[in-house]
Amino acid sequence: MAEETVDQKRLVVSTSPHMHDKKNTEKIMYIVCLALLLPIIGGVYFFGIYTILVVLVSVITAIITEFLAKRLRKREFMMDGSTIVTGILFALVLPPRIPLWAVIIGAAFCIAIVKEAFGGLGYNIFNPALAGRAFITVSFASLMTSWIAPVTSIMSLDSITSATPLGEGFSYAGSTSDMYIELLFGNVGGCIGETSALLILLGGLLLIGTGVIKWRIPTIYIGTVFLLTWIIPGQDPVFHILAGGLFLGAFFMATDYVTCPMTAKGQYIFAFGAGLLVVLIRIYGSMPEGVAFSILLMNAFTPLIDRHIKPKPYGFIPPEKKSKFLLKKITKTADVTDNSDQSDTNKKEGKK
Amino acid sequence: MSLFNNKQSHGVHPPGNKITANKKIERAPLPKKVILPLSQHIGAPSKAIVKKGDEVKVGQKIAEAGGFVSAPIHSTVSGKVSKIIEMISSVTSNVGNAIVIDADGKDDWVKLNKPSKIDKLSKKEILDQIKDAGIVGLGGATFPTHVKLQPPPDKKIDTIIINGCECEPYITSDHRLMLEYGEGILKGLEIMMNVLSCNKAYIGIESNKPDAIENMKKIVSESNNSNEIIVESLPAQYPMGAEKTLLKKILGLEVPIGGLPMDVGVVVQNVGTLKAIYDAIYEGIPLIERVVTVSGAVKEPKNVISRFGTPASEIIDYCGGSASNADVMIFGGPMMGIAQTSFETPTTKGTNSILIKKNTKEIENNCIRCGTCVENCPMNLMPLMYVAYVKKSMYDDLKDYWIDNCVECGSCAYGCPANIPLVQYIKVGKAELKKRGDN
Repeated sequence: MAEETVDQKRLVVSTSPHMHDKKNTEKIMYIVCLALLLPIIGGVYFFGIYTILVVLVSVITAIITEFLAKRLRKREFMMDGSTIVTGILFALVLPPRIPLWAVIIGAAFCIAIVKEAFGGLGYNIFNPALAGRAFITVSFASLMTSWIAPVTSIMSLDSITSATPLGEGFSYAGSTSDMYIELLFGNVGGCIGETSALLILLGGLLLIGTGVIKWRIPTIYIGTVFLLTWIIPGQDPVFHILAGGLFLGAFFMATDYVTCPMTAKGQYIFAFGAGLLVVLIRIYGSMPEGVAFSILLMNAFTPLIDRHIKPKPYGFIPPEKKSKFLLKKITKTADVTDNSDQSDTNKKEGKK
Repeated sequence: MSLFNNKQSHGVHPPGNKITANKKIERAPLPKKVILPLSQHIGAPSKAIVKKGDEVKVGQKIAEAGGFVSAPIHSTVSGKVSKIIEMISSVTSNVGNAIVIDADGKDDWVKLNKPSKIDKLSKKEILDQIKDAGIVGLGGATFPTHVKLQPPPDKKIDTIIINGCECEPYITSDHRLMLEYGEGILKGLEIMMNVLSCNKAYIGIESNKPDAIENMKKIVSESNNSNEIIVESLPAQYPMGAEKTLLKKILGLEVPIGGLPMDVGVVVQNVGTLKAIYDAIYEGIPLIERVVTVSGAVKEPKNVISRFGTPASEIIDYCGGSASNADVMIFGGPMMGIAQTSFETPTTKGTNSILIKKNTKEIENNCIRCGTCVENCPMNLMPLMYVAYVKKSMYDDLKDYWIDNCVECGSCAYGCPANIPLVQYIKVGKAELKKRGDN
């Protein structure tokens, strides 16, 4: 317009919407961190103060690696919390007495190779923490198979070798119900953050309650394991869902936004597949525990699932129905001796 | 969860912020000058029939419909045509002509021919009157009403849905209209039912406007009407007022992809449009003014009746002026409204609200594939795929994800934790595909 005054106020123009939900990536990640405090507390309580060191070293290594990787990739470094989540999760799936150098190598691998090499946040195919764990398992097998029994006091650095519930040679002296209770609270051997099903469940419920994750993946995942071990003779379904890392995997790893499918249907398939793999690996595989590999394998399927499982858009008419619809139209105009159709056609022609 | 309830669709729940809900509609002072763009509706721009220097009166036709899908434009003040300028459309950003009229302050009227016996009007007479009055859909899309009321003969309309949802935050113009002009709305509906030979209508109102629901129910029950008119209370969820979601919510039907509501025998009309139909038929008043909600960072948020073509600054001044730190002016609501470049931009037939606010846009981060956009999309699409493909210029792949089905409601971008402006990417994608289709 020609007549605009000179001292006009400059306005900001942008596309709609001009309003935004309060939710953002950073907040989501910090809520996850908060929820992860519960299994960390469990780890410290059951395996002593050393585990805190593992978590801290893992997180700090992750952040430093992320910083360096971003420099190398000439991208801006931002503290969005996702690196902290990866650092914590990686620490939680390590044995309680893991040497710190292995933690550093693993955490650096998680961020540098699994996350940043693929393009950073949102572009990684595999869950960084689990891929890091797989890397350490393959590289230093003996470190990853030395388990300890829960310690007597938090300050204790004891390391009495013990079997994990899923490992060979595990036996429980008391009654089955006592064993369930020990498994539920986490007073058994295992990774730092995986033993207490109860604390993980509380953390998971916090995530579901705040809308960070949906109920679908954990429920279907754990449900599948329960049902399958119930069907397979000689297995104890309650034991299978409480022992090992299933709860941690189901609530905190399988639900990782980046590496799980986006649609509800896709998530059902993903969770069912992961549950199936856990049972296959645990019962028929050579490894005692299969949660990490079940999720990693399903991560690999995620792009495929997302490509083929799309929601049915509003107003979508499937191709077969469409052709039938068209056929009906054609037969109508061809004056087939169907009374109702005939009258319709006549009406139409009359109007024309 | 369409499995359990076929009337359910996704959406978001932005804070309502309906701060003007209890403010009575006021009449804004007459503008000193109006700028009337020739393209205030969907379809062909109107053709000017006045020239510089012509004296015009309020309600005098100054531009004729430029085609079948088009509508005439009337002067909204009495005065003199001072010039015809080129300006950027406040809706489409296309350049078009606009007629500038300097008001003489007398407000002399010429009305349309008022039909003497409204009951005896033929359908054609009613349609002609609606067309002459320049009525377009006042919900925001501004589709010429006389065209909507003439569906092709093979499309039988059996249900009318009146849209009183007003699901956009802040806006209360339809809400106030239903409270203060309910009778006019009902009379307008009766005319419309008569034209479409249809005897069933729903008035859909969101449950956050209980007074409007009650008022419309009362008016419907008090009228001795043989038609079936149902006032329906709908959950307050954005975008309930999008015609496709509204149709699904009320009737459980889905409009086929690429189709219109009339493909399933329905016409959806906004309450404001009905009031305009009433004014044209009963009072002989063409469409020259509407209720505009002025809200956000203004001193006194208000619902005002203002003449089209009034520069926004005049209306804002009437509402006590805008806050000094406000740097965004939106025509329409915060979810789908269009940010304007200048406070001097004139209002048009589609301007249901002027919203002033401070810019709060944040930087775009990486998509974390959280699926919020998929979860929020009322059309069941996967909006994040559009971002991915547009970023890579893979425009042809957009069609595999039914980009044309997107109504640009903004539910995806509203909920996106990474602040990705999804609607912007979608608009780019659509524009690119259109360009390719044209060549």
